[in-house]
Amino acid sequence: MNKPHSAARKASSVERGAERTRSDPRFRWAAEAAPNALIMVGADGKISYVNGQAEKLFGYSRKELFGQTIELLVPKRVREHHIKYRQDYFQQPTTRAMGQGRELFGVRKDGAEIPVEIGLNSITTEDGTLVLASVIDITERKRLERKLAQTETLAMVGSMVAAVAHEIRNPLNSIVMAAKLLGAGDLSGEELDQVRTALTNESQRLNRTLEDFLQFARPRIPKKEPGDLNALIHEVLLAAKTDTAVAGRTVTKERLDPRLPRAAFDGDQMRQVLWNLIRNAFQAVEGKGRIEVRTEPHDGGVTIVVEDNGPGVPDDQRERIFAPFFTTKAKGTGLGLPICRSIVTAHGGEIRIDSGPNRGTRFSILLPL
Amino acid sequence: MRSQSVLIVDDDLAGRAMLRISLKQAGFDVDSAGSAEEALRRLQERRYDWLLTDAKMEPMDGFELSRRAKTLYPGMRIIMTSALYNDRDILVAPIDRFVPKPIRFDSLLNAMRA
Repeated sequence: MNKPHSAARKASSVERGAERTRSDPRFRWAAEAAPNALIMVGADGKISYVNGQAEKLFGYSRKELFGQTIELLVPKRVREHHIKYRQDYFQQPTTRAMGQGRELFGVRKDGAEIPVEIGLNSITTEDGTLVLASVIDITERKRLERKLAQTETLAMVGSMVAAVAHEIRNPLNSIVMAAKLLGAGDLSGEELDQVRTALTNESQRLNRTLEDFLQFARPRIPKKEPGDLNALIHEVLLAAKTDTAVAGRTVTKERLDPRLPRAAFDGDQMRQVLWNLIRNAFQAVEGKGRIEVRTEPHDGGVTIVVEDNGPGVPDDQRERIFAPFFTTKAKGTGLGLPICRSIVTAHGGEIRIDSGPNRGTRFSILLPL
Repeated sequence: MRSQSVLIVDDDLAGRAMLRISLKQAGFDVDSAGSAEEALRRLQERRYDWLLTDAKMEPMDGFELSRRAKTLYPGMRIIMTSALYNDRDILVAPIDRFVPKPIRFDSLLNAMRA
C-alpha cells in the first residue's frame, strides 16, 4: 500500500480529483450516512474511497482498501472479466445497475462470498472520471426468495394434488357406480344405455386427464410436418360445435385466410391447442355468445386468433391463467392453457391473451413458418 | 309406505345419471338437477325428503345451495358429496351428512335409511 506522502507525490490528476471530492465534508457526511456500502474507483480500478458500510460489508479497514484495485472485492473466477467490464464502463460511463440481470457476488476479507446488487454512478471531475459504486448486500433477500420459491412449489404441489383428486375421483365415482349397476340386472334399456355410456366416457375422461398430466410433466418434442392449418382449425371447430354439452346456441364464425402459407407443425399437438382454446371459448360464452376463429399470414409466419365475447378474464388473473393448476372453472385440471403454451413455445411460436372484464377474450397464436 | 323423495344436484353428467339410476333402483322417488340454480327452481316447486348435492359447482356451489335450501325447508335432510373437500368447510356447512366421492353406495343407503 502507498504511504500518504508518496501517494501524494505520485498522484495522478484523477487521484487528485478523487481526493478533492472525498475531502469535501458534504460528500463525506452524505457518504457516511448512506445505508449502502460506497466504493469510489478511478479509471485504473484503484479504490480511492470507501465508507463505513463498505468496511463492515467486506471486512476490510479503509487503510487496507485504499490503493487496491476493486478486483480484490470480486470473486476470483470473474476477476478477469471484471477488469474488461470496468475498462469498457469507463469508455462510456453512465448511471446504471451493474450486471444486467446476472447474479453478482462480492468477496469478503475472510473469503466468504456475498450476493450483492451494485449501482454505478460516474462522477466527472475536472481531472477525470471517477466511479462511485453503491453496493447492497442481498443475502437476506435471496434467502427470502428461496423460501418463497419453496412455498410456491409446495402450493403448486397442493393444487396439483387437489386437481388430481378431483379429476380422478369424479369419473371413478361414475365407473364404480356403473359397474355396480351392471350387476343389479333389472335396468331398463335406456338405463342400461346410460350405464354403458358412462363406463366408456368416464374411462376415456380418466385417460385424457392422465394424458394431460403426462404431457405437462414430460412434454413431447413436436414432430413438425408442413400442413394445412386452416383445414385443421375447420375440423376442430366443427367437432366443438357438435358437442351439444357446451355448444348451445353459440354463434361461430370462421375467417380463415386462403392465402395462409403452409406452416410446419405437429398435427396432434396443434389439434390439442386449438381444441383447448376453442372449447374454453365455448365454455366462456356459456352457449349464448359469439366465437370467431381466424387466420392471417404475418411476416415470416402465421397468426391464429380465437376470440369470444364472454365475460373476459379479470386483470389480476390474466397472466396466472397460464400457470399450471390455476383454473377459474369448478371442474378442470388447470393444465389446458399451460399445455397450449408449452406446445406453441416448442414450435418456436408464442401465445398471447388480450382480455379484460366485459370485453371478451382473444387468444393469438403466432407460429413461424 | 310412500317412497322417500330425493333431489340429486351435480354438474357432473355421468355421476348424476349413475346416482339417479342407483337411487331409483333402491326405491327412491328421484329428481335431478345439473346446477344449484336449477335445484333452487325445483325446490320452489316442491319439497323433497333429501337433498343430495355435490360441493364444487359454479357459479353457485353446494354450500350456498345448502344454506338456501335449509332456509326454505329447515327439516329437509341434506347430504353433500365431493371428490375434494376441506374438513373445515364441511364442519361449518348446514348439512346432515358428508359422503366422499367415489361414493360407496351401500354406505349412502345406510345413511339415508338410518
